[in-house]
Amino acid sequence: MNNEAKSTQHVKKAILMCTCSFACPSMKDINFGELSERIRLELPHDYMLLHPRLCEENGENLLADLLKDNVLYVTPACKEEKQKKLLRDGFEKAGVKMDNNWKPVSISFKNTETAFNDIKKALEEV
Amino acid sequence: MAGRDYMGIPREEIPWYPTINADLCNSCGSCLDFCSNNVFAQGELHMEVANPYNCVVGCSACANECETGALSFPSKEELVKKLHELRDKYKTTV
Repeated sequence: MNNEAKSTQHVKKAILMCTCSFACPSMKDINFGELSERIRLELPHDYMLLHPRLCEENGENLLADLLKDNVLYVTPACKEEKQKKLLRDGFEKAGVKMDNNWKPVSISFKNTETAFNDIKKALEEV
Repeated sequence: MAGRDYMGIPREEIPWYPTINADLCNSCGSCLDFCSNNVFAQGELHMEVANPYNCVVGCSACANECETGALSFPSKEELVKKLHELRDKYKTTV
């Protein structure tokens, strides 16, 4: 995130978790039910959603309707560099700049505990 | 990664994975770099699908990374039809 982003006054923090159809081998060690419930109970954020595939049309349509300028979106999903490509269209459709409003977290090849801790760290950094 | 299920259906029963058009593939390796699941491997003449059932069912994101358009997948309609057949076979509730 750049300096401009850090200076942006975000009203809310939202977590948009992409589960890759609950079928990605790289996420086989994550229990998404447990992870999302632990996040909901333990981490400071305003709201969270899980979507099976934010990078495809269904997910992009959601992002187009959902994203707002005054919210910072933390996205636990695949590798950060992949997310940048795969979520770009959704942010563009919404007219929201990724540089200002987006913090990716890779949960690829993580288990539930390490994914939780990485999401916690990301929330603390923003 | 064998032995995984998708909606209660053994993954190996679901014919969802990329097909490489060897005439179009220039062996750039972008698919290999992009996919985290070791679906692709660098072959002698062109890229190869080394682990087809590591491919996430319904995912075709790697095709967008291929500049020559060498990667293709079944259509979504074909996938849904096949999943219906397999659902009946395995009597899953999804």
